[in-house]
Amino acid sequence: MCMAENFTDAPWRQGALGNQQKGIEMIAVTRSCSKCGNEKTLTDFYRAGLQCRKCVSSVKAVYRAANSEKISASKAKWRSANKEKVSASGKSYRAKNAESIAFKNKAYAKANPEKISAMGARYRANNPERVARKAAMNAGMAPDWLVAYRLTMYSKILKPKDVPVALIETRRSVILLKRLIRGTNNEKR
Amino acid sequence: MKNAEALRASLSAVFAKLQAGEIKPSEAAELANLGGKMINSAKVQVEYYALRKEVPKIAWLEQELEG
Repeated sequence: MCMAENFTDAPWRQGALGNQQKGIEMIAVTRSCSKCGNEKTLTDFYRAGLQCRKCVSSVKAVYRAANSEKISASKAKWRSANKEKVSASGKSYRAKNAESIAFKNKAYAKANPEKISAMGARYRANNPERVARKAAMNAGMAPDWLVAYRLTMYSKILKPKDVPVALIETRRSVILLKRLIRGTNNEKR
Repeated sequence: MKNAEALRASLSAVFAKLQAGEIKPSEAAELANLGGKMINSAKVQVEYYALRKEVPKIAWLEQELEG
């Protein structure tokens, strides 16, 4: 497919098409940017733009720099009004890119052990209840309601009260075994 | 492992073996992982019944309750 076929419906292509229809061979289709004035190929322009991509980009960058607060406030407003969309989008992204996210996180943790350590300390200081809950969970002393909660926390259908006792007991056994495995692995290090 | 009780018995046995150093942590992790898979599959069944607003009738769990 030649370049002309890609842009046949663009208004600024009408002249070039006319020349083609008249049998005039077009060696290179170019036009000048209304901002920088440079002669550039059509691929350097957006479909119906008068300015080249580079100029458009620089104009946008200047606007973003001058209106960063306005932009972030607008984005925050949209996010708070569309929480479900944001959540679904993030969930979908994480599901599609689980491997690359894990790889990047691992690389970051390896490169920034101090930051990771500080982040953990900050979390533990700010969330003592959650930390205590998790510690109880890891110690295999978790109450039924907590195991049931952990079993259903990612389910849109199930509620903790729906979980049968047998399932809770079995999950607790797995938790105990995993805890021992982790402890054994830590001893070996 | 025909039911949840059998799974729990296996998990307990592996727990004891790991404590005694008879098996490697990686081997125990395999069973823990398998246990997690079985629990999740039972959970899907429970979800199905919850969605239909019915009392769950899952043989894998019920056999344990009878015992």
